[in-house]
Amino acid sequence: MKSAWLLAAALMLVVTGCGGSKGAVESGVSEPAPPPMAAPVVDEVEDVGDDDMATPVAPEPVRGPSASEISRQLRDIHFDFDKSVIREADKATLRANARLLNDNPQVSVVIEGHCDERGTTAYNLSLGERRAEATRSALLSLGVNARQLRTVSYGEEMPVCTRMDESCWAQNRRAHLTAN
Amino acid sequence: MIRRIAKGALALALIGAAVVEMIAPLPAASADDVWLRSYRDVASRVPVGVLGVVGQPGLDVPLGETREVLMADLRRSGVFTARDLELHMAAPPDETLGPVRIRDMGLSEAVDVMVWASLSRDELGRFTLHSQVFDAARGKMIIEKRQRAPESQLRELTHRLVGEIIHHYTGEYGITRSRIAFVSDLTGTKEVFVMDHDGYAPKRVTADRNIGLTPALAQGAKTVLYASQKSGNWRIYKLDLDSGVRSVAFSSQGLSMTPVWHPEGNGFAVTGSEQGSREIYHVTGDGRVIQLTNHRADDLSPTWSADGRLIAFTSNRGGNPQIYVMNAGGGRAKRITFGGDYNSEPDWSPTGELIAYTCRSGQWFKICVTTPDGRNNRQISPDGDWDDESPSFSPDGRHIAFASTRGGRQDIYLMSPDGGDVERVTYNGANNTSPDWASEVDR
Repeated sequence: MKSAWLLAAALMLVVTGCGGSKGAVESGVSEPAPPPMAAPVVDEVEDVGDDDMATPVAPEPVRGPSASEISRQLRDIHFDFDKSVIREADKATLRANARLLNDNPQVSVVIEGHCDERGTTAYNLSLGERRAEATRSALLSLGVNARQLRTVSYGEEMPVCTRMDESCWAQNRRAHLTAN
Repeated sequence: MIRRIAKGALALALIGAAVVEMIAPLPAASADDVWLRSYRDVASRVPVGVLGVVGQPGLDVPLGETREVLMADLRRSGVFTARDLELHMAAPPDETLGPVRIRDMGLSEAVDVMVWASLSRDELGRFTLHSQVFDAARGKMIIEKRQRAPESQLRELTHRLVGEIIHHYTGEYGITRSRIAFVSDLTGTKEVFVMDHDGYAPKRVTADRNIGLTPALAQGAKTVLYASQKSGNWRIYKLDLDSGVRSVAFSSQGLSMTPVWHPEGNGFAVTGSEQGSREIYHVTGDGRVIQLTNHRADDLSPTWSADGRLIAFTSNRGGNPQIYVMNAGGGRAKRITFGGDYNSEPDWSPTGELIAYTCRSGQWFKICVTTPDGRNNRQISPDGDWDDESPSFSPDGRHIAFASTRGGRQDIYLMSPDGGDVERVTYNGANNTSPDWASEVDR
């Protein structure tokens, strides 16, 4: 039952990964899946045909979503204090991220490992790197091409939330994926 | 003689901020003068009377500041207490103030040592500090000197004077001429700063507008190593503070951080990351890179023993971060911390007896110390709802600089290795972290 739900969730993300509303899975609310979008998002391409200076480039028939669009759809993976193991609850998110990257092989991402501010600068840089690497390994095992992935640790240097409580710390202990 | 003067003038012209010493000949300290061998608890510190810092009448000289530095340096020495005896100066003392007159003042009962100084300024704007230090207990003048320097180096003159007093009684020079590198977000991003040990004259030395972390100030305080992500990858940069010239000193596949200078000048140790594992490396003085650890867990934050034979470091090979000690060539490591589930950032005292580190007490981080054998672990910063982190011993081993949030933001504080004499030294309103303390004197 649980795996069926996860599968449904993953499918939802695949669907939303093609340009649908974001946040459908993260919320965890079992609403019916939105109808699939009819066509993938295509960036507007300027017509350069009149420009003599332009080197003719064969336009790709269908371009995938832009890097910024992919970035918006990639979801953070969260971790327990002093841990870099991917939690069961985050595996659906991870699969959705993997699917998004597999469907868009032209996109590469930087996986940033982050920590909450408790603990020491150096140990947190180290822990952040482990989180980024754990995320990378998991994505590789889900078929993502190694050339699409790069890791960097920011330790405790770039929190998304600055209050001093567990809900905030939990948000900061993350692997954040940015497409480029 | 002419040659000497010419050479001195040249040096002054080149450096522009040199301190010139004109020391009156006094016998060198004899063996029995050196009697304060170690850090003393407050009750047994030797009282020093500061008679006063006087100036030529009508001249604008910063007597108050000089006096403050004198008192603070004596207090911070860990061996003296400073007593303000200015009120006892009935008449303005003159150049002839000497042992006899000090003795006549009837203060010998109250203090063991007395200091008097006068400050004057010449037509070129240079200051001369003329000082006399009298050992009241033994009834003899122990230091008499005249030092000359431009105004920018006036505090330096006073630091040198107190350094001489400390040296006379302990055989060591203390911390009066030492500096602290640290990280501050004063300009919005984390940059490396360097300041005097007493917090005076903080100066930003990087302008990377990125993330600068874990600075290591070399002995002599003229070179700093630090980690920066400005190239997109973490690298260790070596920055010459005089020339501003910078070069990449170390990089690895992943992280590069926590450089620490070898105590005898043979390069530095550093944390690097290859094949998904944090390891410790030694970059030797002639540029070879030697991997010292090889463990699938994280090994980081190395610190050398005073003799350079051992290295303490943080490792989570036991499941959570703890401090280990190994030979400086690598090999088997022995765990030396067992209390709590988070001990990291070791810093080995330059005098060898203690290792300070960041420990956790409940949910808060505190400073702990242990003997290198791991048998005497104890928390030295008090419990309370704030974090203390990143201990760094002073060059004389009598003080520990650390970062603390006890005042709200993160600031640099000093304390003694028993947790006493706590003093805040940064006040710039920003977050100040990762202090690293080094002597200005390149012995």
